[in-house]
Amino acid sequence: MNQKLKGLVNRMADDTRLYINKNNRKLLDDWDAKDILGFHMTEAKDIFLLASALGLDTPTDIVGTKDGYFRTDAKNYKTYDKALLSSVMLGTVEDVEDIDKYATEIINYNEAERCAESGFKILKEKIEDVNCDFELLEKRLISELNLLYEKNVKANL
Amino acid sequence: MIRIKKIAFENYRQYKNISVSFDDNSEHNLHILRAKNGTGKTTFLNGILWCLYEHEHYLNDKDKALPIANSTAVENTEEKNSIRVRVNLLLEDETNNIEFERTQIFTVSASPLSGKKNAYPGSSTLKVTITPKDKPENTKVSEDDLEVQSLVKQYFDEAIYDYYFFDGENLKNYFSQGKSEKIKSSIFNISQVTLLENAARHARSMSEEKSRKSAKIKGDNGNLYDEVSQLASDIDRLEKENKKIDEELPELKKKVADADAALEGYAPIRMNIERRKVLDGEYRATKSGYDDFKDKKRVFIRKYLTLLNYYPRVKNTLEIIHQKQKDGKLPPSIDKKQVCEILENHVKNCPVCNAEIDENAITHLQSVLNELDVSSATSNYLMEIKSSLEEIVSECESFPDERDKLIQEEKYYVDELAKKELELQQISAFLTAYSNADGESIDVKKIEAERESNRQKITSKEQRKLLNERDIKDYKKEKEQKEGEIKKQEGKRDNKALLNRQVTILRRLSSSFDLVQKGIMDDLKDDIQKETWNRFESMIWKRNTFGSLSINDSYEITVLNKAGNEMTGSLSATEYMALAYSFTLAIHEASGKNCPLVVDSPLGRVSDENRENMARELLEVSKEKQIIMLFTPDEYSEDVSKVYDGTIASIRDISLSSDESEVERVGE
Repeated sequence: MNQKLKGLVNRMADDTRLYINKNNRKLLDDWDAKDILGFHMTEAKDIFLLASALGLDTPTDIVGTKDGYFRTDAKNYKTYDKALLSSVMLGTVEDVEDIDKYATEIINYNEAERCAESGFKILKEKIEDVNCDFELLEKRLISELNLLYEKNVKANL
Repeated sequence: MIRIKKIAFENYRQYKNISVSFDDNSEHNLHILRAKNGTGKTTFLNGILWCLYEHEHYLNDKDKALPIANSTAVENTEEKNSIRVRVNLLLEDETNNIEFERTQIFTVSASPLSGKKNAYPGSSTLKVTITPKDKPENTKVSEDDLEVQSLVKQYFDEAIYDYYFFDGENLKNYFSQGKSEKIKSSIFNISQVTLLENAARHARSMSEEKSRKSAKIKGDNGNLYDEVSQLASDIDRLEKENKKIDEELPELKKKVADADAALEGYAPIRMNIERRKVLDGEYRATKSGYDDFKDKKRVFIRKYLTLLNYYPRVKNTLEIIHQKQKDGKLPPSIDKKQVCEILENHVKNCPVCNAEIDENAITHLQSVLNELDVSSATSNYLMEIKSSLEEIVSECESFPDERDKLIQEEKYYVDELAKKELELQQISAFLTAYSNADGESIDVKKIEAERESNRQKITSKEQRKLLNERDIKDYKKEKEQKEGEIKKQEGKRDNKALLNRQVTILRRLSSSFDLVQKGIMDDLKDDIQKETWNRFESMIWKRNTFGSLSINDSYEITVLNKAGNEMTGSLSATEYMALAYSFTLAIHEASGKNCPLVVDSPLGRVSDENRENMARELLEVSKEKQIIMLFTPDEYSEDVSKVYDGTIASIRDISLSSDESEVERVGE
């Protein structure tokens, strides 16, 4: 097993539960209270998916206590969600011969946790940057979506 | 009284195999061993010291001395064999027999050149056996280093060994610099004052540690209390304000409704009023739709922020799956995992058809394995997520359409609301500027102005209420957090108070220990001073010279003449010896343990008639304390023998063998 995979497996805890840094709980409570981006009505797994998406390119280890955030054996966890999280590592496969090693939940979920750890920080910065003007935040994010589409989708069509 | 019952030597220097008993058969516990110079007088003393401490303190030059192992025994021992050197010191007190036995094994080897044999020492061990006289079956044997050292310290503390094993020729040592501190610490140790000192030190260090801990605890909640109080007051104020708004709103709404009713009843403007009613309804419905749309927009942002970031990885995963499918490798027709297991575990029969797996089959399976690059588990995994991945890709690719629809929808709401707002404003402006004909009972202009004013008040108050509600929610959360902090701080403050109480108690305790310790130390010093003076006075023939004696806190002795002048430096050798004896005996007394005194050359430096005086004084002491004296025949002069012969417990001579290599006997 190569070093990259060994590191991921060493950190693995569970394939039925995804974890976040316990320190992020306070942050999420605050976003929930202020209903930023409609977080008040958003499921934990969707918030996690958003955070992991933002931190896909900058995964960082969770330092400190981990806190169970949502279960993958829950009814609301769909194959659609599994497909997204599975592409965290599968989507980086360069040598297709390695596909067996990456086609497991644990490997992908553990890396997704690291991406989410970084993603929460990125989102926090974006929120702090608008100084409570959440309409401005939404406007900025729509602009970001346009850029993301141009860069990630349109350029590869 | 503690007395030496017997000393036995085995291969210790010139004492090859000698045992000397000290019977308790006289009123005077005084025993004399006589020996010529070089016969083994000092070796006898050193033997006891070696047994107790493993050090021979009275050896002149250790490096040039003969080895501890008896030289005859070494010569008579075959090369590579060993010799045991042993000194056994048997004591007794009122209740126990106490036996100290040190043993050291030496290995004999011969020099290859001279053939001369040498004895090489191994490690030495001390064993202490304590046997209760009334219950010999309860004998306790100690061999543990720390334990035996502690037992030695209890009886003959090495720090003041020369106050138990006295060398009359070496008086200068008794009052040398540095000695007094050793005496002090040894006396304190024997009299257990050290325990109090340790307890005081421990209490002090605990109080300092607790004091440090207490200082670290910030028990001041002043700001937090103020902040919580401020938050409570803000919440209260806002809640009161909302309550007031709740009371005012129905009234204002009623006024608006009354105005509408009044205006509606006036025929010339009825159509405007009805239109406004419709517009109001439409405006509220559009506004509500716009609010729902805003939620939809947030869902859109969250969804596409996730999908568009994930898109490259999703796309790559999907391409791998498509490629595998295109190459016919997905799903695999053969289970890769099962093939691997058959080869790795050397399975003998096929799990499917039970046919024997021979060399040919193995070669075939290896070639199959080389062609397979996806296991069934991976295949299942990939096939499970494939359609979702396709859905995600498709959603991402339709982002521009979705975004445009969203923009269109928002534009619709914004335009509609603006249009309706404009029309409402126009109606209001029309009514506000409306001029009634004179004499009409209704003043449209005034009613509309009031209606508009009340409507604005309603809008403003409703907005205020919403803002207040949001603030109340935030303040309550903040207050809850701060109250939690206060609770935590209060716990710490309680702990601080407890620590401070403990610090006070520990400080009092350490002061008390110090006081008690100082009291005992002063008493001890006074006792020693008094006892030293009494003994000194009785040993000295000069009755009109010495006035007093004092011992300071460092246990340094000063002798004063009758005029109060110090004369310690002017003492004669005899007086010096008398002082040493007096001080030694006083120390023995103060230690609380009446230990024996073994003295080499007991009257060595004492001259003339003083020899008799001192001999008598020591004879008197021997009624209460065992004294073993080692004399040369010359020292045991007529004036001494006059005092001791026929009075004391024993007088024995130490004799050497004819070749003078070892002590042959110690006897009458």
